Amino acid sequence: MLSHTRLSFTAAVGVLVAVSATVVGGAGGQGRGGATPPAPAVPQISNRPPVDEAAHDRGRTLWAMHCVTCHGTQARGSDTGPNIIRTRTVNFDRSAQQAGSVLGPFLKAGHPTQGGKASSSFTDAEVAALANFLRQRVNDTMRSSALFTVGDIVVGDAKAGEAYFNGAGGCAACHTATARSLAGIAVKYPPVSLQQRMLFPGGGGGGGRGAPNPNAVTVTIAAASGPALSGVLVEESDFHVTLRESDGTIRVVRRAPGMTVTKTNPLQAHIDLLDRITDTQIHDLVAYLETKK
Amino acid sequence: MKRILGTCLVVVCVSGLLAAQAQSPAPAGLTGAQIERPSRDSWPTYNGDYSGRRFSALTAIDASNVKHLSLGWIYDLPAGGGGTVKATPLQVGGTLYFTTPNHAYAVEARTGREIWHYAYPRNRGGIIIGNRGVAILGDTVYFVTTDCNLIALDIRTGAEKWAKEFCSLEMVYYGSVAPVVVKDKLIFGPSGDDLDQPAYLEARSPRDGELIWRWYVTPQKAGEPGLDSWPNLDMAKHGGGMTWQPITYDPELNLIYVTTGNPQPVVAYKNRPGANLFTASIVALNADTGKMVWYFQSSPNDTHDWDATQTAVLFDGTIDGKPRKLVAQASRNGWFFVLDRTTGKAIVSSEFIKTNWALGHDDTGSPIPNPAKRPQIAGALVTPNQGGATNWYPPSFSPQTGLFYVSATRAFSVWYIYDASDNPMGWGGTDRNVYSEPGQIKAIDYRTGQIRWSIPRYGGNAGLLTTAGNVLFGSAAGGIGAYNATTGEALWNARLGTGSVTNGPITYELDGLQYVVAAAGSRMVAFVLNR
Repeated sequence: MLSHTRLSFTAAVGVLVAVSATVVGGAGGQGRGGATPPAPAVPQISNRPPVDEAAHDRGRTLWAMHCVTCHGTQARGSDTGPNIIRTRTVNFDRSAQQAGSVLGPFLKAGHPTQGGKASSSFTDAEVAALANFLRQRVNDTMRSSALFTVGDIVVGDAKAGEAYFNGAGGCAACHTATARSLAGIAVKYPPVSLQQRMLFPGGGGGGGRGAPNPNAVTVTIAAASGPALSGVLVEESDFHVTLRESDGTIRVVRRAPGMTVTKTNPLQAHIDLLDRITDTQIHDLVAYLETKK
Repeated sequence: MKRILGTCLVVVCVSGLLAAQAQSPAPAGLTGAQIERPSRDSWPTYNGDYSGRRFSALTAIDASNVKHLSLGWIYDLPAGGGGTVKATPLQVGGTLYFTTPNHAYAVEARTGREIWHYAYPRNRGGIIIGNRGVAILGDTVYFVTTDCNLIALDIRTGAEKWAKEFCSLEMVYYGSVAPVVVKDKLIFGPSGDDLDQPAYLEARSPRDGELIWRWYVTPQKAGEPGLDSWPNLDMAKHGGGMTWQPITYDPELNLIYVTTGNPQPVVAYKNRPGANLFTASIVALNADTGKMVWYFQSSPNDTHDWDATQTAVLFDGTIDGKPRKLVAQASRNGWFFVLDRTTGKAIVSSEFIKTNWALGHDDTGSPIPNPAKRPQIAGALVTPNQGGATNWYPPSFSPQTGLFYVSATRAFSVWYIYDASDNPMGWGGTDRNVYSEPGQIKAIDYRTGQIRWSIPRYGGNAGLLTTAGNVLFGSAAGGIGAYNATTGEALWNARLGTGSVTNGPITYELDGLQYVVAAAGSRMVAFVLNR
């Protein structure tokens, strides 16, 4: 338990106020108590605890000899035995500091094996091997697992994709051999990234410095009187529009009655496609783009 | 320009306020009656009251003067203090109580002065994604840790009274929800959907955390209701449906409204054909026994992690000229439901944001999923994305306007099956984001489901608050914003220095001053009207 009495530092905080818009300054301020002391080290239960690979491989051999018939290759069960991935024994063992410390007593108490070997006769090393094998099986079900990855997504018809590209999809209107060329795109991105970027390439933000972003959203602001302003959209709020003009000048424009704010997104054609395109057309397009090595 | 000069006096005014209110009175023991009928000077339970409306009767701040709101105080959490505040603070006896994962705080509601900070010293793990807050009863503050412990703290000192395990970290559960006190019980459940485990809601004793009743979301025994919506008992027993959202409660009907999470496996659906009851549902339970009275399924056979753990908001309304007791939900799948909260029968079932996954709704009002928009090995383009049309952040309902307000997003992603085997486990797939339209705040007419208005939301995802002053508070660009609750007109913005609002804003009145308090990242900020 930590108990600090600290002064509020409200008075030290700079406050900038605009009409109907208050801006609270940075954290600044005085006199905090000492930093929170680190909590004492407590052994942590990982979502994916470590697996001893050598022990795991020995465990796989034991599994094949004694367990696989009932519990299946992945310990997810079979017609004759249950899925044990979700059991208390397996998960308390994988959460234990020492692999086998829960599985061992369980096997010692007696459990059927496919070859008739008495489960109580497993040595500590054999129990640890089986425990590591089971740890890996559970780890494999987790989102952080190496197995948690996309399959073969290039399943479409490249010819149909080409026809869509040049026809109904309207892609060829922007992407030509010389403008926004897609030559070599299949080398640049793996299929799953290509599929995502094809649907929406991203990168629309325009507030940063550096080279101009061709995909940046631009804005034109026409007030009731005076010249229109235009530039790259930096930020919008309820009361202001911030833009960067071509010479780098940042302008913050307060919204007002009679003002029109017109945004132009170079990627609008991609956005419009999202409500039209079918999954088959997506897969066909990816198959076509995969030919662009 | 005059107003600029006028409001620049904020610092001076607030300093005076600090001096006048340096000493908070000792917090009085909070009673069940005080939770059931909250006073103007308190916010004694997660949603302010049991209804989940997040509507305050306070009127000192209204649509005409909200633009004059000024900074009251700032409290910054210490480094290592748990990060972003997603919790809704409770305010009892002039003190705010709130959490971050594995941390609890007591801060003076008038000044932002820290009274105590409890850092859970024995944490063994769990997912640190957010904690929704505390419950208070008597002189005890309750919250849950990521490693599945219910912690009881002394309200005055933050000293730990006891801890009680309510779920198993080893079995890949964790804790994140805010408990809610209902009479003599703490009502809450576990979180977690990485391993296929059964979800439940529990009633536990505020005295020692002992279990009083437990309701399992999915059937656990042969013969239990809902089992025919699963292929077999084994899948049902491991069918998930976590109770991530604090419950709402109708004292008159003595019903608890719990909203349940996604079925397991989350995305790879091959081994769980059926509606998968009672996952992704709004369920009414008897508060004394935990027995189910009715259910309504928001997302039958959910395959997109949409769950339905958005707040079940309770209010009384008029349908076809007749007064009705209603419950409404803007669900993560993009649909808005209004049900009779006595019977669970649907009155309104409609999209609040355009989606592409449903083929209409059935006779009960539940959407009918389009099988073609389930996740595929090669990917299916679906809106909403995994984040959903909305998510955990609390909506609001104003009985003054008859409008239901929700922070909404229209986003597309491609949904993939990763585990194409006949017996997938865990998630077995996920989505990859494609595009998200700018966020919106939507006002929905509860009688029809029609969108009355929709305004751009320049801030991030955050909870909403409405008041009898006809004001709606929510996130805005880099901070907090106030809007006319009737029209959606923007009235006021304040940048908070740490980004836009990350929790649900609250309001309360102390010493004749109405406060509005919200968190942005690891900063808590209060605003008041100058006298």
